[in-house]
Amino acid sequence: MKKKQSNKPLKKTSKKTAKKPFYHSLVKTKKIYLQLEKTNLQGEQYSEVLCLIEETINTHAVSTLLNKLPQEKHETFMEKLSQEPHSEELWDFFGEEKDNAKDHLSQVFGQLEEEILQDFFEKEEDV
Amino acid sequence: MKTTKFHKLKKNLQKRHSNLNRQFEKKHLKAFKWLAERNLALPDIYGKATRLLTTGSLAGTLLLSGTIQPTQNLLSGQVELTSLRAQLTQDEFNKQLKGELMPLLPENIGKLNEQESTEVSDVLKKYLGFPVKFRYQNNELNYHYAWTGYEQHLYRYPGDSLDQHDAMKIAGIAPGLGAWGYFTDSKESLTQEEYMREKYYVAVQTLYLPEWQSEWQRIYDWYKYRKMVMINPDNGTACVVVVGDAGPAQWTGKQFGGSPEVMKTLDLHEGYHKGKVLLAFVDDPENKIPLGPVEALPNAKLAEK
Repeated sequence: MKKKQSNKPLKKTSKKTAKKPFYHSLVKTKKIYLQLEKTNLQGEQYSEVLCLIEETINTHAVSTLLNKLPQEKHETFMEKLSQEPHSEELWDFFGEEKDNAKDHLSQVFGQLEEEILQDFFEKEEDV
Repeated sequence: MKTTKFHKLKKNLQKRHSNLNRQFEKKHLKAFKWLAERNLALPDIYGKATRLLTTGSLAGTLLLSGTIQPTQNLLSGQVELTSLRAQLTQDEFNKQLKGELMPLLPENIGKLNEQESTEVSDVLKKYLGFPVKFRYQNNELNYHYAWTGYEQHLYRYPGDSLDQHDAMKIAGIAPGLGAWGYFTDSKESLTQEEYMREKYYVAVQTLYLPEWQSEWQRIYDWYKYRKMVMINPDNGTACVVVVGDAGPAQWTGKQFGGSPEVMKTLDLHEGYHKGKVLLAFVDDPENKIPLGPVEALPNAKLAEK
């Protein structure tokens, strides 16, 4: 059955996205979205699942990045992130470790994609 | 997908997400507290990044449809023309209301005692032009004077999105529905009243009411869209609101929540996104007091003549 686009507010918004979180280019979600399409979820159910996935990715990203930053930089990083989450300048917090931080986050996103994919197949108690 | 499969997927994802949150709190307590102090959660940040900053041009806002108007009907006829609201300029109104309220309030948050609640109610009626009560039809919140936090927009109907809200998009939209679900069934059926309810909603802690366990169904029904007024005594601003969500959680240190528009009206939308406010029931059995900012109406008397 063809899904109605109007029932998918979050996905619709994502497609319009022009500015995204500064780490967005590293996020790996292709397999997840393909799997999500197969579920045939619509409307509220689709939005709920998408929200949970986005929140999980975001929490993981921020946690991973904070791990790479010294404690004293955490507050200013959070401040900047909350005000300008799309700003590429956020990478400057990592100084010379910028490229390492990017590589590490990219790997983390790859693993996370596989883990989230498992949620589509595993039983509740297996997670 | 069958509903049971959806629930399994949702539960799996929720479990993963809450495990991550717990780890985050454990590993980055300082950052976690930083978020909590500002009434933010990590998803808010993501929400701002992916939704707010990306939706510059908004297709088909409700305002453009002509069926929805954002402002109050200023001369609704329900404001007593003898009230100070009908006699003062906005600046005088705010300053004088603050001046009269502040000396009556206790230092700490909580319930006002009998004398305080009578005096405060009298002052509010004198200024607002309609009766307010801290105890109404045998219902009373655990707090009359307490901290309010900054809430996000709520989904009004299936298919709603942040793009379709016409103001304060910086606040983002809550990932889940409000405690009473959607405000209406569809975009097409959204009435002005429902539109205003989402715009000017507050969250109250119905779950922590002492009678919740034994009377939850009655409480749930009674509080749904219950009309109230939130006042910031620190600057004399006030906003007529409805109860549109339950919360916030006790650990946040806040007792009420205000929609982005409510918080803006009370000038609490910047900085720490919180403030100490009064929250009282509006005695409006005929539902005639409009929702939104309480504005001075110095020309109301003239218009009446």
